[in-house]
Amino acid sequence: MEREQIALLYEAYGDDVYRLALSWLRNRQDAEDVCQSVFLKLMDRNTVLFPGKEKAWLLTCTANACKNHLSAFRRRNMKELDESIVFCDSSDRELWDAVMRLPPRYRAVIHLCYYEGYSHGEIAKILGISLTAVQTRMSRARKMLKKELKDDAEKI
Amino acid sequence: MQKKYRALMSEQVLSDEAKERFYKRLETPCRKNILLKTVVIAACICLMVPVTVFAADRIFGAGIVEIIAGRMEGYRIGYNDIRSRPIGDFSEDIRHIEDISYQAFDSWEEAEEAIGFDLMDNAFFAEDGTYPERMLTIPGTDEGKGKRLHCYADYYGTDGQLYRAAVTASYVREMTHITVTAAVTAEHPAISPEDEELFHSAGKLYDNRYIKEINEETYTAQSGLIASVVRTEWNTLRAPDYEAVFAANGISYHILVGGYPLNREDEAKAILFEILEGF
Repeated sequence: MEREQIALLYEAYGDDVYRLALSWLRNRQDAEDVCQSVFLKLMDRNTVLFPGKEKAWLLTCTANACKNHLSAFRRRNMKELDESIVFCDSSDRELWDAVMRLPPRYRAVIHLCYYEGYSHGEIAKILGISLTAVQTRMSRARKMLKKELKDDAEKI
Repeated sequence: MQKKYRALMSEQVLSDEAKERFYKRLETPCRKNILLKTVVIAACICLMVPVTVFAADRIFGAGIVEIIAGRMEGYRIGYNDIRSRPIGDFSEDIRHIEDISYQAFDSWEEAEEAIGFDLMDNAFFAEDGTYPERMLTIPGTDEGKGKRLHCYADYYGTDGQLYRAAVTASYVREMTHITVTAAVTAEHPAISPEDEELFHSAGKLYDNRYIKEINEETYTAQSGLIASVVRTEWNTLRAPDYEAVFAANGISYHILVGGYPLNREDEAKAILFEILEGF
């Protein structure tokens, strides 16, 4: 793919890729690294992107890159939550921490559903898992969040 | 909460430094250092034999094919795990499993959920032309007898704590049957040496009487994954079985390719290699 095309895609979807990586890895630096590697993969001549499916491809690629990153990383240790992430409203920190304390695979489905607004079927395709697995993860993630955010339980 | 999450996530954007780094990297032409490449290839060739022997030994302990003395003369294809994981890594539902128990699932992903681990993905199993198959029975028990399962997890625990969890699933591609198992062991304070031996080398056991020839080779995938591949030829009218064993990220994997027509051995072997390349 031409560099100009990659730059356009980066402008359009860079933040979306970064957000998914951030929700998965919960660390800014790692998320930025994964984001960069995902877009640089487009330079590979064998990469084919179908019109209209660019974002889904990028998110799938991001999910795989995050999985690999965590697999390699788990061998050493897990990073603490990134405290350098700031929010305009300080009460958001509680929700952020609660989501970030979920296991990575639960964070990913929560992000794709709550932020990206994908259906369970679309999430299954992006993550390469079954629909049942997405439903199970969503239900467990919600249950965990409910437990964490007792005060806001009715809003989940 | 969805609204709140969306709002707080919208605030998270790539930093200017990250963007700058990316554009700089994008503009950098790919450098092909031929000299370095040549040196690396030469070094790899020089190191290949000792490294392969070392790696296989490290991953699979005393070797994967061994003669079992005593009750039965034969071979065991073990898939030793290289290390145990903290019990906290496993899902809460199975941490306190006692003795041996089983759970049947409709998919590999559901089993992953149940044990609490992300196992390695392999596009081969999601490709058109590969289908989940119901041909498994739970080994060594009457449980599930008569039922044909696509996927199950088996657990072994003692003293109120899980020790080992494994997931097995069955697939078919054309006329070739494929069974994949992934096994993880948990750190266990009170495990007996006998149990440790049993569950660290829990592979298939082959009776010598039915084997014509058994041999192994090492396969290195492009990803760097090193697997031991075992071919078992039977002295009956049955096509040889191909098996691969390897360990990655503390999880041991076993893949069995078999049950294909006698004249399709090359295709079966190619399928196994395609799967190994897919990890």
